[in-house]
Amino acid sequence: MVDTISRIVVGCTAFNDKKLPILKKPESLKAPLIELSEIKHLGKLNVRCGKKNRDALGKLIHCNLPIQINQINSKAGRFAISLGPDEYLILAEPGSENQLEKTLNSSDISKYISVVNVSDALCAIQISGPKVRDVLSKGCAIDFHPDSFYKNKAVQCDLALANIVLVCLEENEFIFICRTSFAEYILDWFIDASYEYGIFVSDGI
Amino acid sequence: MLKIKCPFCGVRDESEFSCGGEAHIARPTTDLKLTDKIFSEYLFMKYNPKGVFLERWCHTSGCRRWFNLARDTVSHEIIEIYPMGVFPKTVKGKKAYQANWRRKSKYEAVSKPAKRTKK
Repeated sequence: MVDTISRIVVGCTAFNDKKLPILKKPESLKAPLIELSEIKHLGKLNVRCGKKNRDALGKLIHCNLPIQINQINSKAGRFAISLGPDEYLILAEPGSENQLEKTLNSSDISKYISVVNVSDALCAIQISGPKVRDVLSKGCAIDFHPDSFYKNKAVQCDLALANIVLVCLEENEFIFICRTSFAEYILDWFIDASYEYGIFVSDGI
Repeated sequence: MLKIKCPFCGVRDESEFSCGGEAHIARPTTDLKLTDKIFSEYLFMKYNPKGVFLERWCHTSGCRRWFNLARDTVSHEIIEIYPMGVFPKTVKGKKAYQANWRRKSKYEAVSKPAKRTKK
């Protein structure tokens, strides 16, 4: 519990220097078509694990690890994103990542896996709205057609000049995870890129 | 721009990748016996052919994994993509591997690991 409180007070947020909320839209539009907010203090663990221990690790996390690359699995608020053939990013509820890290490091398979707590190094930002795919395709050389970038797919790519992990939750709802130091740059880029559709940046959850 | 098919992430733009130069350069294992001239062949001399070239590439902005790639330096055609530590399998790739001057160099002869002896 102490860990939880101290993290929420001390843990950094992505848009510290920005005055939120921000609303920018052309006058012709009644409401903005893009909404952006930070998911604050989400626990993030980077786990390296081979094929042999994948199932055992999934049981410890309470969320099965995806077998295919570029996929996510989610269960009860936890996400497992595959970043490579033996690398995963685990998203856990705020405050639970320290306990999860301890559980993994004291488990039977701890010799064969590597766990790094990257909660503060990375930040998660949620974007939604009917024009999300149009805006993202301005800075990302990925096919955003709903048939090729479908629900529960994740890719690692460049958005403008920043490296991100992009996760599709619903057809018009994405989460992306980027370096905290790049978050303000990405926010600026989003405000520029989505001006024609209107953007609302809320204070975050 | 090249469209490279990463073995893990699928087809992506060249700007997401970084090129690691020539592939299949074996480090000399018996370096104590090497002269400076032979070691400099390993360290400094690079192959720059017109035609099929075997390169190492890394998907820096994606999965951050290395792989080998056989590319035609004239037409930019990508002939083969294969994992690290493996030799090319296509006919053009095999030819390019054999045509490299390293196959005849003195340093590569000593860089091959010694054959296992039965105890």
